[in-house]
Amino acid sequence: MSENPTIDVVLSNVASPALAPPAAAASAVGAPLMAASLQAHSVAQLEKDLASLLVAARRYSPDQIDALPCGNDGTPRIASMMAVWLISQIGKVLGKPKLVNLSKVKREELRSLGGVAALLHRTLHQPATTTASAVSP
Amino acid sequence: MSHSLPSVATVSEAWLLGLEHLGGLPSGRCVHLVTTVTEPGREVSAVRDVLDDLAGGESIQSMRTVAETIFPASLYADPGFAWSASMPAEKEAVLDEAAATLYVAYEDALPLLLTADGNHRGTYFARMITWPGKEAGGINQLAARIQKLRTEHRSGKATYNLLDIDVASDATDTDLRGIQIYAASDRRVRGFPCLTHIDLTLFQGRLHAVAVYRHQYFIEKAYGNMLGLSWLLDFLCQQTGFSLGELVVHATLADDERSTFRGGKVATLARTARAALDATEPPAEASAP
Repeated sequence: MSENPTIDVVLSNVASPALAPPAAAASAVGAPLMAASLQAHSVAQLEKDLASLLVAARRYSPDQIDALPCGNDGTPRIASMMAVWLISQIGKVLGKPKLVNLSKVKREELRSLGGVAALLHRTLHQPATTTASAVSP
Repeated sequence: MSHSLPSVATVSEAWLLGLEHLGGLPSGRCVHLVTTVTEPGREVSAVRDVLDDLAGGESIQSMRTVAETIFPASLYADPGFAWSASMPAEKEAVLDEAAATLYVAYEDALPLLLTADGNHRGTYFARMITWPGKEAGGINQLAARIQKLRTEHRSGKATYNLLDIDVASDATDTDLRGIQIYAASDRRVRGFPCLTHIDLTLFQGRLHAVAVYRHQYFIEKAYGNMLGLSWLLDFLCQQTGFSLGELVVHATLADDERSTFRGGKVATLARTARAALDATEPPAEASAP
């Protein structure tokens, strides 16, 4: 990141190329995603929604997402911090900033786009009483 | 007694030196272990791979996940250039926007992050950008220090002692010091926060950092912590135009976690990491402290 010629930060887990600063998350999320469509989407569709979020926020281009190494589930690997951010953006659409309880989430679910999509799908389809008790306002 | 290890270039070497040193101690623990990385941000990825292999098998956090508790690099869209006093305003705005977007993105994720085990009292990065760290809208220590350092840079200062380490001080102190992590209200005997303070010193045009840990866990946390601190320091240098200095990590209690990782796992890890380091590059010259 700096101009120091000795710096060679190896971010070997996930490719994270330098991009232009992303647009504000609110505007990136609000346009393409609606709460009702999220509820109706399959896991595969949610995975595409998440990829769209990354592109809209200019964190990755579509080509860069395709080039990401795959996780154990065959879907693009992402850093867990990125996974949490993605969930937060979905939570913004739904008006639920604490959409999931991370202490009850398996680490593997935060390591790939498919893992996050499956987590979201399960969360969105929990019975209403379970959801209310599991998710803090 | 304190244990000051030789300075080495990379995070990987510094971590391994620390682990090997602890391995030679009867208890695997010591007070005041000091490691120095002369080129923060540089690492030997094969060494990190060894740790991440262990992490996968033991169901502990990856080194990147640990590092991102200190600096969430995944959320930072690096513009690819550093600040300078003479840069056009529109270019400075790009840097500012990148930093601002990072802060906003992290604050968006903060309510979720606080639901994770061990995060209920806040996170390190949250304490840096929205002190006291449990919700958005708090004091942004990083932004304040970036502005201060830019002012110093514009005025031609190449040396500025941003000390004093004042563990009990409140981050609202307007006389800028280091980056405060530990709050006077923290009453935990164990657990968060282990990182208590990050001290910044500008000397001869280079920005150096000292991070103080109450308890440094050398298997689960130390490598990732050093990596995250390196990324943080590099971010500050990029945003202020100063060159990268040294990173010193002072663990007031360093622990090789042999009581957790039993059956010789720690020794095996150290040997495997050493072999990976030696196979990757010529042994680094360790300079005297």
